[in-house]
Amino acid sequence: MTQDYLLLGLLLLVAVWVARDAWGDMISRALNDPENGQALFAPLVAFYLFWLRRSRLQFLRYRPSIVGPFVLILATTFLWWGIERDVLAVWHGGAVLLLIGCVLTMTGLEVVRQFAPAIICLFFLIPTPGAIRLALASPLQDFATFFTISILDTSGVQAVRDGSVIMIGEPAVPVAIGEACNGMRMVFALLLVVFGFVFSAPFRIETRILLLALSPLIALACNVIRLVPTSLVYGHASLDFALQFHWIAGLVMLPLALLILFGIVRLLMWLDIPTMNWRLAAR
Amino acid sequence: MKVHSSQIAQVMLRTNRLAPIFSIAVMIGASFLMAHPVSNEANVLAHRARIADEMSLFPFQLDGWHGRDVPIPTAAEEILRPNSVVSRVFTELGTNNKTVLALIHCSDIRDMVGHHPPHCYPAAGWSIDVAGTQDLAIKLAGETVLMRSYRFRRLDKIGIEQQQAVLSMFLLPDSRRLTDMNDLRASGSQGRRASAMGVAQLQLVYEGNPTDRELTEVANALLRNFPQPLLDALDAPVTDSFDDSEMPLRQDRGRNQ
Repeated sequence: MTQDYLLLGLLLLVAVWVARDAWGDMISRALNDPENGQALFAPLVAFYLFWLRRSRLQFLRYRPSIVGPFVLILATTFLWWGIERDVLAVWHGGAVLLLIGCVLTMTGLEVVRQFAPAIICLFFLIPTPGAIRLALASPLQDFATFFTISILDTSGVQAVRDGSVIMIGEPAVPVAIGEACNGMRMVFALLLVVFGFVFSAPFRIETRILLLALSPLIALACNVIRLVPTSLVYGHASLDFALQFHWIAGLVMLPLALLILFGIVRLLMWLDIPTMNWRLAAR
Repeated sequence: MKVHSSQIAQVMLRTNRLAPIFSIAVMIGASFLMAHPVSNEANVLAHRARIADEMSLFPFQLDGWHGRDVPIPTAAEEILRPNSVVSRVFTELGTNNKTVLALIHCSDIRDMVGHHPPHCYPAAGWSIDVAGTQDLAIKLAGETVLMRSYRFRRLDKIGIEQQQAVLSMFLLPDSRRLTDMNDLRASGSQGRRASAMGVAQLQLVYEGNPTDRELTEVANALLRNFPQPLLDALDAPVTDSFDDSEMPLRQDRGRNQ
């Protein structure tokens, strides 16, 4: 048994060493690029999802499978092609897949059956590809500005929209709904929260799909909820206080997303729509 | 038939037992494949260091213009992960002409992708006047280059419209000059070798709504004195060769002043 763990540990170490450049790049981007902050939380959520299913470890034993080396070949191809063609998401994906291939080598596909959510969660380590980020940022900025100004208008707050700038306060202070507050930085972090939530309880598959499909709307709603008070603070308080408020409000978005998720589940239950798939913890 | 099935099962079992050995073999192969460097890292690092050195020497005085450091125009430094940045507002002595000169060098082309005026200025609250986008011929240290001009506007605190004109271009190794983000993206997607060569973006930012002629005149006045050693460093090709004698970084490329 100990030898099995040692062999697994050795394989994982070699896998990290082989893809050390990709891991270094991922860590650097997670630490330095605020738009890839979800990568810092991904290991925690993956561990949480694993921990919830820890009783299923009894189903795992040393059961070597040829699937592992095939996954490793695929991962190596990803690593090589990703770096050669400079498709960083594929390069980073290869590094993650290499780890998964090592585990599959030792346990076979049973580990996927028992711990699929935790394994899938590891792919949140991959920094968001620039093309996806750019494609999402502009519409998010437009939506966030539109909904924020609409809510401010409806609430009787005097505010004017100019492009992606909200003029608020007396004298008017321009609040740019820019890269820092278009919600882009939180989209994937919130998607990770939703992912962690839907796989942390025995929801029915339909409920999981619904909640995951709703995650962009939840992200947008959270961002608008943050932007309305943030705009007011920018308009009526000092800049230093506004900057601190903006930062703290960004953090509050994560528990807020969880609250919204609980609200949706309660709503579904109140509507008598079955949401849970009751089953034994270990099956 | 039963015997045949059990034979297959036995072969599968034996093969599965060998999986850890196969895995180690695959990863040894992978380590050789990945260890094969995509470019001469020493040359690439020397290239970046040379550019950073030259940018740190960027003069505060350019002919009749005096400069002082300011934050980069769209505060995107944390996203760009730059190798080096120059961001300076230059004032023409004897006049009130002011221009922000921003030069940002990224070690990886992909870090620059998406960061150009039509994306970053609207993200910072400016609205773009699409009709005002065109290429202008500018003299850069004696060389005629194309810079793309963009026009932006927004309202200030008391509701008065502010206007801004921005000239922008990308400088890549091998003296390549680009004005279009799609071309830059295509350069980066040619592979790690191409991307690791890095790219610099040069921006001139003017307050107000100058005519194209005024824009060109101010840009010429400022950029004709652009430091030649820095331009040489930005233009230097980075070879993949491992023979130091073939490394062209320190060679005098004989550019005409």
